[in-house]
Amino acid sequence: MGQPDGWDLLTEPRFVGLNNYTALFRDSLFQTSLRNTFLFVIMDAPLAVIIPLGPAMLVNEQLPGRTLFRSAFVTPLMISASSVGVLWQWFYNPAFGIINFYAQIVGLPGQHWLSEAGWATFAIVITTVWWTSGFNMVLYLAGLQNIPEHLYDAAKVDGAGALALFRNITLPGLRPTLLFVTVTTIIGTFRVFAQIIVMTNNSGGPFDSTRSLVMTCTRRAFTSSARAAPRLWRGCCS
Amino acid sequence: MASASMTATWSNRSLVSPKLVRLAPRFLIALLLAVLWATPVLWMVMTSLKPENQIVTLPPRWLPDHLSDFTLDNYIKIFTVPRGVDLIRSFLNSLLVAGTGTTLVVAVDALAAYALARLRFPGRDALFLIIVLSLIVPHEILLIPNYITVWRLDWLNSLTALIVPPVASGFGVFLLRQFFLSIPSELEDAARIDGCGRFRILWAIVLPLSGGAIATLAIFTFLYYWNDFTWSYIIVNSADVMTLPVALIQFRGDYFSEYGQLMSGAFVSALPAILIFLVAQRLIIRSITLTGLKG
Repeated sequence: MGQPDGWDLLTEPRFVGLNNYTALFRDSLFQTSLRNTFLFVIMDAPLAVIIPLGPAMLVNEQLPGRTLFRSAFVTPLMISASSVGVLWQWFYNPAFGIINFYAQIVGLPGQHWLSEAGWATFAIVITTVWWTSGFNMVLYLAGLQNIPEHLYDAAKVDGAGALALFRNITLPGLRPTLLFVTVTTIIGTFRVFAQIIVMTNNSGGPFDSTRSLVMTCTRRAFTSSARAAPRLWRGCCS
Repeated sequence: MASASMTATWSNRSLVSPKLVRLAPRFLIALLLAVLWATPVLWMVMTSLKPENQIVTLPPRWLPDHLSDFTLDNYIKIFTVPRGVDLIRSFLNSLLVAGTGTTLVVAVDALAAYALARLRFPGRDALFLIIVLSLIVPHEILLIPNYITVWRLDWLNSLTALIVPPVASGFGVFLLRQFFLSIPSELEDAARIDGCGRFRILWAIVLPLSGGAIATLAIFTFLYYWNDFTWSYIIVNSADVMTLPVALIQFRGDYFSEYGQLMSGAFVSALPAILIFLVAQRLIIRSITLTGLKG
């Protein structure tokens, strides 16, 4: 039946093979959190990897006010997770938040962003992308500056247009950076925790739809008894 | 000479230079995106300057009723009104933790990186591989084992528990080792011939040359300590050990939220990080380039 093997952290641990893992995967809350986290990663990671590339290329040029633009993209990163969570929870408020306000001005129907099972994850994804774009943007900036200028010059002499330049010089030149950014973004997105518990008041969201893996981990660790300790430890290894 | 350049100037003169034509759309798009990104931050700052009763309105408004209603009240209140959470104390705690932690991290990592880059000893490369592999492990896995360790060490609910555990991160070691490798070893050889010991070489030659990488590491580390929420949330129970991110949550009650003070608290806590970024952004980019992300 998969009874979780208890370990009170004080006596000697007992070797039980894979029992902890099987019990874990049978646990419905773990399954829910796994599903939620996967959904979150699938929605967030591509956006978080692709979106900052545009601004990075823009602020790479000698634009007037370039420092100001760079700061605009990176400043959200400087705000702590809890503050970001509180701010955006207010934005998403159906009555008092500016998102529904501007949506209705444009003619779109306002939503119950954080209290509807379908929208909650999407809303948190948008918040996370806004918050963390600056980090990847700085990495892209560094990567872009590593691409030798003479490659662009030679290609332009050969008559390459902007799209060709991007596809044949920028993208290949950014490959190591893209790899680093993609891997770290995916890893980081799996660890989503702080903004979710702030934005959903640690409730797991509508129908538990935003309960992430780390949330389940910490809740099991610090609220229930120590019997769950080995199980949730395994659960966090994802 | 003079006539040739004058002719060139005349024929190239136009009302709108080609450079302007090329840059204008990029500038506009960058402006649009920057405004989009900055809007929530602007809202945050606006809110922090409004009187509390005009913040949550239906419908939401950017400006208060009268321009004269803008006030610094919220900023004053967060530091003076007692609410079981001392924001000044939390700010100082954060500063202490981040400052001490950063110094510790830079010191430890520089020593480790130099050893891995320049010294030869059995198992050196294996050790380096292990350190790099440790970067794959997400912090959340270590939450519980670290909590148990801290509990057994009797460090729970203390600043020590906030400062020490993150020192064991391989990120800085990796970063600095790559950079130390790129410093020509001829410099160190020359110093050795002159009789310098290893520590002297590290201190007098290698470190001064690594200003960029060390600054980068220091900034990233400081930001990590400053904004860390998860670990601090778990470890800290009492108000006198709280750090800023945890303290700011306390401003939100279950049935009401003092948004004005929340926003001013958030802005105040973001300020050090923003200032550090503004100062160091060129350094960071140049430093990363020097360590060679390419390949």
